[in-house]
Amino acid sequence: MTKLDIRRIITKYINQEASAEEMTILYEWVKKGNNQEVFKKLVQADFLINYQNRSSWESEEAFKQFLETIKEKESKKVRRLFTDKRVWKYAAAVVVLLGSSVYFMVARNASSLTEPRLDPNQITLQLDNGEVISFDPDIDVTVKSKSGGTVVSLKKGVLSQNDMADSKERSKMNVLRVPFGKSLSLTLQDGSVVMLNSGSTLTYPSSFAGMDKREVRLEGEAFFEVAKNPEQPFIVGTKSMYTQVFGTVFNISAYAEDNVAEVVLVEGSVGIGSPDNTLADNLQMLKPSQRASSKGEVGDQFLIENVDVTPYISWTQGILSFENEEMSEIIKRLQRQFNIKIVNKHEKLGERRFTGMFDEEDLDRILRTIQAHTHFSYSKVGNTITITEPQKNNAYDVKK
Amino acid sequence: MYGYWEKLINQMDRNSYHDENYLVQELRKGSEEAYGHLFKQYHQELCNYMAAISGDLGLSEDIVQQSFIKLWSNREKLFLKEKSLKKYLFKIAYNLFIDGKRKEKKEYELLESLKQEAYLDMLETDTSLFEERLKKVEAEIENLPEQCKMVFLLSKKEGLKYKEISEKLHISIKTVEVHMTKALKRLKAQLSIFF
Repeated sequence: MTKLDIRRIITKYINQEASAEEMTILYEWVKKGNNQEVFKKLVQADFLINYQNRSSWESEEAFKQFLETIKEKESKKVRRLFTDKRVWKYAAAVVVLLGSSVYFMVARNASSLTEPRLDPNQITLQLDNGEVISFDPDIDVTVKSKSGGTVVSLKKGVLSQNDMADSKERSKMNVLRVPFGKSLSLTLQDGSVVMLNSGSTLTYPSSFAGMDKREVRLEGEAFFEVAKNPEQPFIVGTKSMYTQVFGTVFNISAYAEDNVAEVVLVEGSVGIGSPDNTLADNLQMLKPSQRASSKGEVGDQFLIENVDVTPYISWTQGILSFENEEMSEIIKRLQRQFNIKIVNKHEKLGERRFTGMFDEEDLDRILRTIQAHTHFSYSKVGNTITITEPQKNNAYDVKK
Repeated sequence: MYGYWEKLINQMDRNSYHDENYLVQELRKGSEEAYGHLFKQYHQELCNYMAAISGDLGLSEDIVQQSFIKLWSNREKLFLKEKSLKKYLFKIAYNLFIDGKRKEKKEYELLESLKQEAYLDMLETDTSLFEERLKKVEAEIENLPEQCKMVFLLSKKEGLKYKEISEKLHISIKTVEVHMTKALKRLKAQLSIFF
């Protein structure tokens, strides 16, 4: 290889004329000695040749468009409740998933028998006197309980509750249910904020005063921003997990129909244990960017591993994110997010894994995107989407 | 409706955005004024850069616009060392440009990353030196031997492929290659006193 040859190849490469063979030669050459510098100098010379000092760029117009774009992006994220960066500063995300589909079916049927007044498509708050209040997340309201003991108000998608100072009947067991397709934030009496994802239920007392622990129960998924109070540890209980928070923010997901129980910590400090063994010494401590998971059975060992936390908490920003997830799991999440039933008759598809992020898109867009990577057909009838193997188009063969 | 541009010009007097740490801090907060300043400061330059690299003015504008939006979207994660904002923006733009191209081969990746390094080095040179180099290059193009210059300009200014030049001038592709190589070598030699 002469000097001239290599210069000829670099020049061709720079002018996008190099063949694959020449690219390989260049690649081998550039790895040697001081050749990188020679290569870079030629790139710089070419850059200067191409550079023209234009001042005709419409910077002002570009800035106006930029403002419009970011405003549009902002308004699309009304559901994004944690707009300030505070959340990222503390964020500790805990995701817990548990149960089996059988358990889920039973549980849903049971609840529909005992609580006939609950509209499954409404966000409802059930006070411990049995009174049920319904909410539309987009409409701000303030409601006083019938007994007058507690006032509940919804402002900009954030629910809060205040007991009357003189009230003796403290609401100890409030049950907040968020149906599929919706989400809602709640400010607890101690100032902690909980954002509940679709299809989730949180049980909490209206006041933690006089208690030695702040304890709530969750089924589904939630993002917690816990007010610091070392005197009163904050505990989230789920069917198979006990999570003690040491003054921080985190995200839990504990869906009954999912087969894994998992906790993911973004930042801060969280201890995980089994609900039947909650002594502080027996808790397994999680470090930020760690995920603890188990099969969702009480008493299971937790597997701890390092993860990228982003996909686990992206839902709080209104983003659906999948990280190498099986289609069968993705389907479960889509069902919750869009409050729709998806029947998959394409078995092989269920096992395929996908990675992707969707920002406030509609279900059709998401399905079409996945379709672009793999072949399947789907049809929508009423509230049910059926996925089938692709229709074989034999028209061409017939003509032949 | 958009008074920010005007406000911005007044803001320039206050001088505070010239402190890059302060600017970054305000960008993180999402301050529209700060973004306006960012546009004023870097939009033209970034467009010129991307045009030199991509050779496509429309594409360059799009990429630069996307880069500003991307910076805004990731503003909460914006932590920069002093004097690296321009580099950061340029890197976003360059990566957006590269993402749009095929790059499955590792050959391609190494060479592209070297190219990016070369461009980043250019960003660091101060304006007067940069202008001087530009003039030098321009003068040297004028000094190229007649046919060499013709081939070179057809490629660089008219954007013709080697094959098109060979057909137009009735010379072999090999001859085009020789002229192009010679031109680039001479231009680089002129610049080497600066590097």
